[in-house]
Amino acid sequence: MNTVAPVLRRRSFLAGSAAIIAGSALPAAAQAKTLTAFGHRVHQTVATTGPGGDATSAWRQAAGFDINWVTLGDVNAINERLLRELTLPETSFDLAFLLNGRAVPRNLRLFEPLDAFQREAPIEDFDDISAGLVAPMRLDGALHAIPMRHATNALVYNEALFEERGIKLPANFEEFVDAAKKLTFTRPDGTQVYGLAFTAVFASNFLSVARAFDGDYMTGDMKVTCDLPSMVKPMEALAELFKAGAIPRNFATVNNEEITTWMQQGRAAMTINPYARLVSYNDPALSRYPGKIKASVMPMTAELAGKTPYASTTEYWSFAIPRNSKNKRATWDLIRSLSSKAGTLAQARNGNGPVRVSTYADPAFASMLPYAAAEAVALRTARIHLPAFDNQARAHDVFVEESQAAVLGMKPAARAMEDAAKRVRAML
Amino acid sequence: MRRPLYLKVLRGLALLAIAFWSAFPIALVVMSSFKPARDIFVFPPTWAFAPTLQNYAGLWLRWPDFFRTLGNSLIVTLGATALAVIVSAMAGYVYSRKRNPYLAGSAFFMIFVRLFPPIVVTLPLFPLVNALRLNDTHLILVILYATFFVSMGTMILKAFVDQIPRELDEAAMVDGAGVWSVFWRVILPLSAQGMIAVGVFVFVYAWNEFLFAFIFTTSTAKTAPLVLSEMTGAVDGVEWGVLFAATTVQLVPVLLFVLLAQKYLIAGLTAGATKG
Repeated sequence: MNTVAPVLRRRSFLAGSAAIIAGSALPAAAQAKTLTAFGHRVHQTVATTGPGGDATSAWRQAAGFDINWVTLGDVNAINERLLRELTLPETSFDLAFLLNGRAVPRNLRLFEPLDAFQREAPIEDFDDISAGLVAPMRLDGALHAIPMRHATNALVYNEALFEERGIKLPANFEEFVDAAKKLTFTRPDGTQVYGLAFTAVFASNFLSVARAFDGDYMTGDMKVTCDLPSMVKPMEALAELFKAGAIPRNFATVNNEEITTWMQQGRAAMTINPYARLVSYNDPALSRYPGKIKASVMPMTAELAGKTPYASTTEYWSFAIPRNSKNKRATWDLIRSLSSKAGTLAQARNGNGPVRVSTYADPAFASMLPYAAAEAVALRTARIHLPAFDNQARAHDVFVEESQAAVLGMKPAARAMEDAAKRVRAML
Repeated sequence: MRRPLYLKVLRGLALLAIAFWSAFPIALVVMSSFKPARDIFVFPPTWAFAPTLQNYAGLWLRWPDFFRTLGNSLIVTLGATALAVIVSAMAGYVYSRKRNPYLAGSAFFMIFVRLFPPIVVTLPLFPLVNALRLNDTHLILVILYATFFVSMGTMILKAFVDQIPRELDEAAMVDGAGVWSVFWRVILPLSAQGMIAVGVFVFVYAWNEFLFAFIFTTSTAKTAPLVLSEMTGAVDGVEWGVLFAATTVQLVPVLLFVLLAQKYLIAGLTAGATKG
């Protein structure tokens, strides 16, 4: 009996390859009634996963829609991609997540005004959403985005290292500087511990220190104030800490992930980071100091303590609907659902920073997060780091560059802040 | 003439240093993927530890889409490799056997286009790809990856075909073969080594490519490097163990492929080197 062995011939190989390529050309058949949400992975996680459950499930069942989450890992990449989509005649992105720093007039115009939707089908108890976060989302009086997640900065410290060095928690800024120096030491095994470490690529981190002097790079009404003593003095204090070795030598290049590792390993005693980071700092699977890393607001200077409240820096994300999207009505319904009290609480339980004041009052939520009460207090007086204007991103980079120059001792702090003021005023 | 012993030792040490320099970071990533998360960055570092699969379990549980996107990476990589190799082989044959000013011009154009940084091409392509509704399809990545390697692949395969005696083409033509038949039955089998070398280059590039995938995909055709990038951007802290586990998984196929094909890679790179 003759048998024919299966042979892969070149002809069949080429035909097969062509078939694979042609098959891959076919876009996946779009599922009926799918709504696409574009943002960071954290937005998907807090909306769908965790102890709070899937906050989108009720809406999905009622509306008969599915959500296609499109996520990226980098904030700049998200913004860049979003803006590219917004300039197309039509986008497949229905729900966009917008960071407050990018909510500048030029960008806000690319989103649908939401007042008509709000009149027709209002968000539950809208006034409960922090007014300070809603205001920057208005352009010419029209609401363009709904705040949904905030990250408010805190002074994070390792209580165990304070105890080990016999140092009390600082009651004012001067004591904070002193503590940072005393907490800088080398362990017998050669491990260097720094008193203070934070990433120098965010203006909000410098500002978190400067707010101890009630300092600001710019005010809400667009006045450049970085050359005032309230900004120069904190820069001088940071420069002093850097000179004393209490801030790491690689201050200008260290990133936030390294800071997290240092805090978890006890290689930094204090840092500036959002309250929400306490979860990973204290995670027994990751940290050598579980339960020992705490947070508070930065103490004010002795001169201002008790007179002026500390204003934490805060950043936040908002829901927005692209003007060139197709499912605006359905998207608004999803926003309403996620922004409701129940939706906000569910997301908060999944690790979101809630923008509703009432969420912090929920006993279940408060008992879940040890830092909830402190964060609620900080949020009351928190302010964003820079007002929204078209050149905000460039101004941010200038402030960071000059602040780094001041801390690293490349320029006297006063001159660095004067230079920053001059450069940013030219952009306004 | 035999080399002195000290030169041999120095050469060995230099090779060892280069191998260490190249392999150590990779070894560190692979090793860290088996360490408990809290021990990965412990200082001073620990070299002896009880290996754990908890990072791989975390990857499976918390980043299930990583494995789906690995499938996309595979489709795109295989498609781009096949397309680039086939087109390069055809072009290499033509450049080797034919001479005319138009071909010389097109060869120059191919090299010239290769000089542009990909980002320059990417941005104007975005609205076009969108208008053609190729956004978020495997096909657009296959075309782009293949396109970027056709110029180099063509040069490599031209060098290979140059080494095949023209007498073989002529003998086949005397027997009645046409140009296509000569290419198919004579040139292609004899330049298989070069095709594999080109395939390795395209495979490695397409498997790891980030920029085009970032610009032109959203979910359906999203590739694994994009998920790795997402892992590094976690706002509530990067899970380094899980990231290293994903990196190791991402590394394995390409490492195996390169190891299997390395002898062809060297042949591909040196083809035509001794041609007088």
